[in-house]
Amino acid sequence: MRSRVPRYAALLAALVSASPGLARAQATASSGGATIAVALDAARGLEPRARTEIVAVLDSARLAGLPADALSALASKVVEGINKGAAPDRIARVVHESYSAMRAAQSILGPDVAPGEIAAGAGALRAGLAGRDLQRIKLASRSRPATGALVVATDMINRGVPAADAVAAVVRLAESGADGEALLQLQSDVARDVAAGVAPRSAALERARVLSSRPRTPSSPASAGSPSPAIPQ
Amino acid sequence: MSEHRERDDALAPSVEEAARRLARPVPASPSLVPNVMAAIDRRGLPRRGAMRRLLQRRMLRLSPVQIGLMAASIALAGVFVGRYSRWGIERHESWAAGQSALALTATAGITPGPLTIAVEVHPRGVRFVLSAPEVRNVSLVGDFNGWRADATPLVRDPTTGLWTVDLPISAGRYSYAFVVDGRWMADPQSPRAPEDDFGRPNSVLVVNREASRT
Repeated sequence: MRSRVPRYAALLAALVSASPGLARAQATASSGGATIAVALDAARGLEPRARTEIVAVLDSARLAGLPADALSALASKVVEGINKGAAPDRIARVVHESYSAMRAAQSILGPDVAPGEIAAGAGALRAGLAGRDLQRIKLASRSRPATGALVVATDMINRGVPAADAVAAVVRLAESGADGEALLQLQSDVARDVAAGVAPRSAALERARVLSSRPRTPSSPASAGSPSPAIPQ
Repeated sequence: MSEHRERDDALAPSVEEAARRLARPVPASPSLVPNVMAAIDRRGLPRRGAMRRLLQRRMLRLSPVQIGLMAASIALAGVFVGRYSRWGIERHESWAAGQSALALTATAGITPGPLTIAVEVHPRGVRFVLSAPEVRNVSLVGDFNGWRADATPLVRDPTTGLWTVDLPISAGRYSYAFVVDGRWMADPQSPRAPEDDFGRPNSVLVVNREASRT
């Protein structure tokens, strides 16, 4: 009987694994992104030094207790670099930098984080935000995920808005109770204004002022992308 | 060089003699075959693979209790699989009610024209729409599909020229880009990914599961 238990378990596992229902469920569960296993498999073709460094970083990330979505984002960096044809040393460096930023964001944002917050926080830190800026944005977002506010602040910095003003703009909007659509509106309005020649700082602060003073109405996807009139230069 | 050749010539007869000796058949001992067979018997047969053992006839010799256990387990597995599958679908439906995508743009007004992109949330996930009637191939690459250009092709509606694809993306932050006729391009209407790490810019999509408004 004892020797038959493994056979029985193996048969059961084979039956369950072969089920199309479970395969569908697994596909659904894994649709969130790349896994560490996928990244390690993809890294097999890299030169040994870069591969060793990548494996070490991924292992450290797993042991450090990064949430699953952050691990997935880190693993995705590996496969992104490989599929974009980047040099192995560069991939290893980027993965290392991303991991360091994620660890910093994790310690700043605390254990209560929404999906994507650590990756967004890491991106913000890499773009030049300080740790206290992340804390301000997290606090201003209250019970909502801070992911969107962090991404919009980072986008504005990349468009030339000084970090302090980008943070002030998203904090003002978040504190007014604005939702993700208002944040998107801020991002797209500032992007358009900057492209039209408005000073980035003015664009961010003025757009945040206008949007935060708007009465909040139930969101409708059809109106989410409609641009506001450009602010005067 | 010539010294080596002379030495090779001098050794040639001895090499030939060695080759002649080696070519002769060596008479085998009469006890060789029985000894080999006895050694094989002592060592036993090699272990068979797990699948082969599973398929052995003795596997089917189960007691009534074992048969009952197996049937109950298979039934339980069926229930588990069914529930898990349904949960996978229901999960999207339930979070779709309160979610928003930061890259959300209106698709209602999108008309065929040069490269216009929209991303919208719908009950089963996120829909990516690209208006590019002149191009031949469009696909989506990103954190959600392992950055493989062949993983998520967009389908073209021949009447409108709109390319679309629906993805069951869960809440989170994703970097992504489009590949249009082999050319990687970011979505100009979405936030830029801050980390342009590999030379080709990406966009960011944030799918939130909004907390209740307070």
